[in-house]
Amino acid sequence: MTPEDDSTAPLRILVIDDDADIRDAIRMTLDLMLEDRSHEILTASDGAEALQQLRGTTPDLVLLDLMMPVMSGSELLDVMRKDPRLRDVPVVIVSAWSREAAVTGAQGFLSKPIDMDDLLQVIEKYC
Amino acid sequence: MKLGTISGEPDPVKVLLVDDRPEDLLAMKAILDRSGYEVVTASSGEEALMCLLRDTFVVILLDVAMPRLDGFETATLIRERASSQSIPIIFVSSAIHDVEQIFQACFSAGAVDFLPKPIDPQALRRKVAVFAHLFRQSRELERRAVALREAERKEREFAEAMYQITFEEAPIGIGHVAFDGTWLRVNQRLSELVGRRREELPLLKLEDLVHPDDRAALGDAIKNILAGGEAIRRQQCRFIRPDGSVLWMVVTISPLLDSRGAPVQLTIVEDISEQKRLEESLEASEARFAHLQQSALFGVVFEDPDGTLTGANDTFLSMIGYSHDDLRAGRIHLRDLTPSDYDEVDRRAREELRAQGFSATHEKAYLRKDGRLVYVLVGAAAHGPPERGVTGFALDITDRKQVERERAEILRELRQSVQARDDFLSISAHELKNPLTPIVLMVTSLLAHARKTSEPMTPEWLVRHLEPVERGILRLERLTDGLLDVSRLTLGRLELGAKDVDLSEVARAVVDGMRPEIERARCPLSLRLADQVIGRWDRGRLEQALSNLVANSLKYGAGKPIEIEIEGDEKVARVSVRDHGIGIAAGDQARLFTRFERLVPVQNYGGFGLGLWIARRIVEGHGGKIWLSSAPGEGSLFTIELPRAPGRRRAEGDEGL
Repeated sequence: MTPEDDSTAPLRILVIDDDADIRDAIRMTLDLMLEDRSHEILTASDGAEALQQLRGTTPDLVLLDLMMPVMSGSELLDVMRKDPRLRDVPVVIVSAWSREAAVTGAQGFLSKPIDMDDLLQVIEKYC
Repeated sequence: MKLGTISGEPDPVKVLLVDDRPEDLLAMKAILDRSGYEVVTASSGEEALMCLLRDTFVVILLDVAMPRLDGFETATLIRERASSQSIPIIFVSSAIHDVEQIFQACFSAGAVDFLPKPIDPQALRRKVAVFAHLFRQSRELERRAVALREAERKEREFAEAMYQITFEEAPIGIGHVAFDGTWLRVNQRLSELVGRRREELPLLKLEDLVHPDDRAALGDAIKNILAGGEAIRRQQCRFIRPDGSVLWMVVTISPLLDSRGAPVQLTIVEDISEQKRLEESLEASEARFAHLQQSALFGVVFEDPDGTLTGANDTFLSMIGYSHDDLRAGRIHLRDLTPSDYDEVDRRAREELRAQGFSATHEKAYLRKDGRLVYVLVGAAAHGPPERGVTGFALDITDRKQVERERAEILRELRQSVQARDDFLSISAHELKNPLTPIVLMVTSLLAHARKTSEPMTPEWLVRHLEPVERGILRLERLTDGLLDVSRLTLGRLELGAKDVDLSEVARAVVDGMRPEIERARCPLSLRLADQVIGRWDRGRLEQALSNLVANSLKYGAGKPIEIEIEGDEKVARVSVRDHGIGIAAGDQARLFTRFERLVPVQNYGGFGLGLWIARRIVEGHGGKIWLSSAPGEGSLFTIELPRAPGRRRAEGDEGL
C-alpha cells in the first residue's frame, strides 16, 4: 500500500445515510476499490450528525442521502451552502428517488441501488 | 181619412133654413149670409129631408107652421134618421098662443132652442153662432183626435219597424212563446242557436229544446210566470241541438199580453257556452292550481314585489320553519330567507323574472327560522307586471345534497386511497432499493476485488464483507413479507393462531429483535412489563403489530425516549408504546391507521406507511382495539387492548381499497 499520487493529504469522503448497512457497504466498497489511494471515509446517520463531523473537517466529497429523520439531506445542503468553508464542497445526492436529482446546490446524483462503477466515476470526477 | 182636412180651410158652416114662406127664408138667409155661413134653404119639410140626405148641417132652423109636414113632424123624421139625429134643431114660429105649450112641444120634438117670429136678427145670429162655434169646436176636436191617432199609428209603425229590425238583427235569440209553450215567432239568431229552421220551430215547444236535466227547473219557472209570478231573469240552462251538441244558454222570459189579451212570453236566449267554458276552464285551472299548491309535493310561495311573502303552502312553510301566523303578519321576507352566499343567485333570478317573466329553476339554500340551512331547487314566474308579484316553487333537495356531499366525500376518499396506493407502489418500489444497495455494492466490489487480488481472503474478512449483504437480503425478505401481508390483510385472509401467549414475553422478544434499530435511532428504551399477561393469541402476529408500533416510534421519535408498558387484568391485556417524537394532530389521527397513510413529507420519513394499518388489522383480528392519543410536538401514545379470551374473529376485507 504505497501512496502513488502526488497529493499528500488523504482523500476524505463523508457518507451520510440513515441506513447503517448502506453506510457500511459504501465504506467497504471504497476501502476495496481505493486500496491504492490514501483515503478516509467518514459516516453520519443524519444531517445533524453530519454537521458535527463537518465542524472539524472539510471533506473532498459528500455522499448525501435525502430521506433522513431529524435533519434531511436537503436541509443539510442548505446549511452547507451558506457556510463559506463548506460552500464549494462537492455534494452528490444518493437517493432511490431519481426525481430528487434536481436538488439545487448538488453537483451530482447517484441512484439507489448504487452501481459501483458509477460511484467510482463520481469520485474520479470530483476528487 | 185624408191628411188635407187637418191643415186646410175651416169647414164651411152649413145652416139649413126650413120655412114655407119665401120672405121669411130670404130675410133669415140675408141675416146669416152676412155672418159667413153657407145657408141652404128648404121651403117644406120634405125638401128639408132631401137636403139632409145630401148634406150635413151645423144647425137646422125649422118653421113650425108648414102645410102637409109641419115642423114637429119634420123634426121627428130628422130625429129618426141616424145621419141627422144629432143635428141641433131650432124651431121658428110666429103663432104663439101659449108659449109654455109651444116650448113643451118643441123640446119634445127634439129642438134645442126656439126663435119667435118676426125674427130678431141679432138673436138669430147669436143662436146660430153658438151652434157654429160648437160645430167648429167639435170639428177641431175631431181633427185633433185624427191627428193624434195618426201620430200614434206612426209611432206604432216606427216601434214595430224598430222591433222588427232589432228582433231580426239582434245577436241574441228572441222568440215569442205562447202560453202553451209553442213558438209563435222566432228570430234568425234563435234558430241558429237551437239549430232548427225557423219554419220548424212553431211545431216545437220551448221545453223540446232544453236539456232534459234543466227542463224541470225551467218548466217550473214558466208555470210560475203563467200564475202571475216574476219574470225569469237570466236563468242558466242547457239547450240540446239536433246534432246532440249541448250549449249553455242564459234565458230571460218576460210575460206580456198580446193585443187580444192572450199571454205571450218574450223569450230571450243568449249563448254563454264560451263564457261557461272559460269559467269552467278557469275553475278547473284554479282547482288544479289549488290542488298543486295544497299537495305536499313542493313548496309554493307568493311574493310581493318587495320580497315579502304573501302566501305559501304548508310544505313551503315547514321547509323554512315558519308558521302561518308569521306569514299572515307579513314577517317573512325573502331577504331573511336568503343566506348571503346566495345573494348573487337571487339577483340573477330577479333579473330573469324582469326580462322574461320567469326565472329558470336553480339551486339555492334558504335560511330557516331556526338558523339551519335547507337546500332547495327553486323557480318562479311573475304574475304579469312586476308590481303584481311572483309565484315561486321550491323543492327540498337537502337529502339529495347530502347524498351528493357523501358521494363527493366517497369519491374524495376513493381518490385519496388510489393516490395512497399509487404512492405506496412507488414508495415500496423505491424502498426495496435501500436493502438492495448493500447487496449490489458488496457483491460487485467483492467480485472486482477478487478478480484482481492475489491475496487470500480470510473467513473473518469474508464474513465482515458479506454481513451487509446478508442483512440486505433479510430486509428484502421482510419488506416482501410486508407486501404480502398487505395483500393478505386486504383480502381478509389474516389467519390467526390461538395459543397461550405471554404478552410481556412477546414485548421482550420484539425489543431484543429490534436492538440494532433502536440503537441506530438512539432512543433510550424503558420497559415496564407485568408478569404473566397471558391470553390466547397469535404470537407471531402480535410480535409484528408491536414491532410496527415500536418502528413507528423509532422513526418519528428518533433520539427521544420510548416507553413500552404491558399490563393486564382478568379480562384484557394492554400494551402501550409512548414516544416523544413529533406527535400527530387530532384531525389526522383517524386516518393514521388507514393503509399507506403517512402524515409527514416522504423526504424525511421513508417506509411503506403500512405499519400502523397492519397493526390495527392484527389487533382487530384478535377482537381488540388500538387507539392513539397525541398532540403535535408532544409525542404519541399508542395503546392496544386485547381480550384475554378473544371471541376470535377473522379480519374482514378492508373498507375502501
